[in-house]
Amino acid sequence: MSDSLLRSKTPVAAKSPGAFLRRVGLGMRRGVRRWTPGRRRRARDGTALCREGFYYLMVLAFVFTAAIMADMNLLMVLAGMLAGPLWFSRRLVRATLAGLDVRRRLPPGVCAGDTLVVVVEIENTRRRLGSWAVVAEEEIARDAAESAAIAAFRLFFSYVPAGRTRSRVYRGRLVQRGRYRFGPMRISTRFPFGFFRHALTVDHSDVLTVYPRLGRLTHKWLRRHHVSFEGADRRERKHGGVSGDFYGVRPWRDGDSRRMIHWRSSARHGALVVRQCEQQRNRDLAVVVDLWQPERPQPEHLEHVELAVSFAATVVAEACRRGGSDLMVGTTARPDECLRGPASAALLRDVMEGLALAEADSEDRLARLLDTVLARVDRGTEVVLISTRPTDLADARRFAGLWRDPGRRALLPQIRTINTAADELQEYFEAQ
Amino acid sequence: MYVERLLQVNMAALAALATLLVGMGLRSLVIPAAMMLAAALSVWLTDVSGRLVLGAGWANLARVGALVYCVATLRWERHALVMDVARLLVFLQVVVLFQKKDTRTYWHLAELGLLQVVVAGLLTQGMMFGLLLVVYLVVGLSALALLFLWQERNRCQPAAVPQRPAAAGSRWPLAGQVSAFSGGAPGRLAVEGELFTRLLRLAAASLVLSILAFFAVPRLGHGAWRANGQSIRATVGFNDRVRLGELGRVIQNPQEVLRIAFHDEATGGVYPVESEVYLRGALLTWYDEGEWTCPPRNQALTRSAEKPASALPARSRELVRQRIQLEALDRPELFCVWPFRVPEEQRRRVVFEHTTQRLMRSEGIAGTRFEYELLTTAFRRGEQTPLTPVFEVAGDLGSESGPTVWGSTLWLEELLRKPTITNKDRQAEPKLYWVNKLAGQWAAQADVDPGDAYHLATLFERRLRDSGEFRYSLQGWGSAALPEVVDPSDPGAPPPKDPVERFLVQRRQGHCEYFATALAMMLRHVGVPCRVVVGYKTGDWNDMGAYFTVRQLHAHTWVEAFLRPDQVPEFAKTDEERTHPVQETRWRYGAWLRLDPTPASEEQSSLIRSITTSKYLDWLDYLWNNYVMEMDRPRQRQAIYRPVVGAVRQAAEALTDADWWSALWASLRRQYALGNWTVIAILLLIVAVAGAGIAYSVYCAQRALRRRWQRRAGRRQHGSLHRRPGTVGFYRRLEAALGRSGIHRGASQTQREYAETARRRFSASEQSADLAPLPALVVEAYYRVRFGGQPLDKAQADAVEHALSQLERDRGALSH
Repeated sequence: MSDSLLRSKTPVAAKSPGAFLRRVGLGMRRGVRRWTPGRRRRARDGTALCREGFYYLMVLAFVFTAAIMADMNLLMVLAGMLAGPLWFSRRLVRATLAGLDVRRRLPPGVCAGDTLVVVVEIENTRRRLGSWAVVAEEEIARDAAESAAIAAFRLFFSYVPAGRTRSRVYRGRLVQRGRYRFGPMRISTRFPFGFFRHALTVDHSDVLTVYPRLGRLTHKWLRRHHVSFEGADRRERKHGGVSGDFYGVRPWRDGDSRRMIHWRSSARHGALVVRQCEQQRNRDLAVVVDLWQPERPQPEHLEHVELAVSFAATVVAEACRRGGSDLMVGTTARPDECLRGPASAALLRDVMEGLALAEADSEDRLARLLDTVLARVDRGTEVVLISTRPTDLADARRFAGLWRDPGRRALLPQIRTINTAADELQEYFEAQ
Repeated sequence: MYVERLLQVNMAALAALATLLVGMGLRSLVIPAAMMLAAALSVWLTDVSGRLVLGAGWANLARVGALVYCVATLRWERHALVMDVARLLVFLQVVVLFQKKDTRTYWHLAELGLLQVVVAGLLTQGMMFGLLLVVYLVVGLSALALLFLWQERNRCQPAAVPQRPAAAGSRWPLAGQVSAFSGGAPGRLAVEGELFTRLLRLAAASLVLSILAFFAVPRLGHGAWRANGQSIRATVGFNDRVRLGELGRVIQNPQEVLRIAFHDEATGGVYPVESEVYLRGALLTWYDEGEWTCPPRNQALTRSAEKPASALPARSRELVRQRIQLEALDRPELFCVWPFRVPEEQRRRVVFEHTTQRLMRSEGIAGTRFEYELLTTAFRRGEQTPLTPVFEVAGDLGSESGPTVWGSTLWLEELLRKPTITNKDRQAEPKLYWVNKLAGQWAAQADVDPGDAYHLATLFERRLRDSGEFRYSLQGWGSAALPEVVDPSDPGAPPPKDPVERFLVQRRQGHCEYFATALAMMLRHVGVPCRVVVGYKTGDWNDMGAYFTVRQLHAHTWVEAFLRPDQVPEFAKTDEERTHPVQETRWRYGAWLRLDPTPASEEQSSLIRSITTSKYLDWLDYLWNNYVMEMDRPRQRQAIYRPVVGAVRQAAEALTDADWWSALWASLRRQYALGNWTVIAILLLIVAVAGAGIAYSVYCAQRALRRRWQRRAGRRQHGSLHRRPGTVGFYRRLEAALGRSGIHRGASQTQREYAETARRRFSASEQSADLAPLPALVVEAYYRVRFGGQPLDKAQADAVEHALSQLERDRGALSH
């Protein structure tokens, strides 16, 4: 089929009555959309006329004009009856949202790719009037200023009785670690007829940190770890009759031994608190994460970064699960700051938070990070370097600082390097 | 599912109601019945079972078919056109009812229903239309609310979360996947009782608003819209000729003919009428062969709109205004209490025909509702007097003929005319032998001077009415055999042939026409001039509306006897008239004596009693016709604007009048002195309620004004630092200022981290060390506004503005 023939079809189709009518109809619809107040003001707080209300207003104007021009009394009655719902629905949409209290319940943390369940509650604080057809709308965005929303949803509360609370749940998955902003939440209603829409921004924003995705450490990794440290000295401390290291206090719960109560702290807090102790029976561990990527990273580079973070998070989670050791975690994103402490849930949370926010870049900060880490670890501490690239620690020029310091140089052989870009990672780690 | 079903039923009911409203205007039962059937079937077959669902193609075909049919049968006459349009709308609605329901279909149903109601509004409707319109409002609001809830729920249905597989060959399981969320299930759609309660309240409020709007919105034209299709009521009781024996059983039709209210012309208040009211319609003077007609020479009717009748003398003591609302009848006659005078403002609307002595309408012939007002002096102390002065000029009163008031001549010989028959000698002799004989007997039995027409006439009237010899009956005579009568004094007398003779001597029962004819003929045979009047007699008083209702069954016939001036009884004259010669009084041309010989009928009384139980409906119908259907500009001024303005003015004058307050105070003190605590409490309550109302109104107005002012003030501050949550203008200024200093925020940086970076960069240089804390200050304000939802107060806004100005001014500090 020639190009000229293709071109010649267009004018013929455009001249046909059907096409003309379609075009006119499309134009009219666009015009109506453009002129419909509800569309223009949808994004703003306050009360706005919706499309249905606009059409209703047009019908009302037609009936009223006919009634007034020809003194048609019955049409005048009808116009009055049509005007009532329009007038009162404007007041009702405002009244529907008055006295509503909206809350959002987020989990304390979630790993990337895991199902996230968010509960939104609306409490009607009024004593008599219930609220119908309340829509709660919210956007989820990366916690960076003016970043575009990655998800938006709306929840429909068909009825919130007076003095009662109704909740709705939405769920989904965030596949990228990092910090996300939820909200601010907007509630709106078009009750009772959809003629007007009243919207309010009623909720503050919440920030949720999505932790790195946890995988599974293979038997090989666990066995190797066990073999490497079999026979190493173990420590067990006792403090006041309770095994483990004292590292803090927490509120008293049913079932806690009375011997664990820390009376001095309880007096200070005005409530019972108990000591928290941790037993340390395992060898200390330092995890060094080198998040490097080229200036123009390819998808595989991003994968290597995510694998590195996920692997590190999994190693730390495993260590914290086992407990009984000191942990140190550092990333090249912040080479001067390392997280250190007894392996515990509290430390795990901090580490996950740090890993969630760690960003890769093309700057080589590994040497600085190793300087920081090795200066703080004890002898005998296992040091695991997880890197997104091959690393030769024997490179004296690159790691000049380490090689100059005999103490640190002596630790270099203890460093176990895992390159996430290489296939060897699969021997130790399964990403899930 | 529950709400959807409710919505389907509601929409079907709405469609049926709309068609019912149209059917009422078209006076058709077939269309509403068919629509109700279609609505019920559509719910069952289409919505519930889904057995009959019209696809888009079939529906369009059906629509086109309906359109073609309606266009083919279109009639280019206004009323018929409206009917055709209504029919087309009904067809279209039936098609939509049988389509699969979605949001668009439901809206189509609502629109078509509304269009039907609009079309119904173009037709003449009764009070039931108003009541059904209220039902339509309630059902319509319910349908709209359910439709909205259903639509809103569908709009918020959660979308399925797309599950993408991991990218092929990738070791990272989340590679290529995107974050996705799904709103939770909306749950069961609640249709609690509170919803319908609220809708009912909304409907009630809408109704009140519509009533206020209806009465308050000024009418631009002078006349209310009247549809051509107004049903014309056939007059079955009244006629301008009476033929005895023509009717079988008289139809006792309770249909309204007119409503008449009496108002005191001096005070404007309701004039209390305590007797039955006789409304004159037509006068009949010629009788022959059982038929009353007008004189042949009067058949050529002439109208004189230029010289409207003025039947009353200028000086009238008890002047009563009669306000009459005549239904759409098929006759042009108007009815009223005689004697009457046409007010100035009515002289273009009513015409008096001198020759037939009838009042006619000048606007339109018939078929429309007609309202008119007349003045009358017929009432004395609340009763319609039986004697009214003659204003016609009596042709044979010789010197008494003065200036004509009526413009017509009273022909006495016609009032004395008896049917005659020509005998063998070619001489006319009275035809009604038995009437003549009976009249002579009654006159002889009565000990009355033959010249005393008043007493003779009233005696004959009482004899017919009260003696018990004659009985009122609505039954026709039929062909039943009558007993033969023979005159013992004259065995050769002819048998009774004329219906009135048969009534008097054979049947002795009949309705008012027989009684009136008998009395009239007997009076003429004893020399008393008289005539028969056809009109209405009513006692159907409506307390609610303060008017008399006149129905078809109130049609009546009675007799008016002429009394010469010297025959006018003394009791009819006032004290002043008794001291003057009769020629100087209003009785100088004589008087008409109303005689009603018809006895009371238990049958008719019971019927009227049964009808009067629906007084409330009748009153509502009266209100509907007067203040809804016929509301036009003059009526609006008279019934709405003037009373409201007057009341407001009066209230304002009273409230600002010190005398009024002092009188109120004095009244309170008097009541206090009398110990009448109830009155005091009521008065104080009224004052308290009024005061509270005024205070509340002032409070609401002040609050509304304050809110409006605040909104405007808020708009003026748009763009300033006092912005509402969600706006980040000043933060953008910060980023711009720092960006010009080479400090750009990373994609992963929060605002606080960004401010910290800026602080470090500024701290590194001595020149810019002073600027170091400023970004953090602005960012903290940004967090407060953007995420905290809190506006900045004046001091904070000033601090932020100062910091931004400093950053913008010293932006070169870093580069140096």
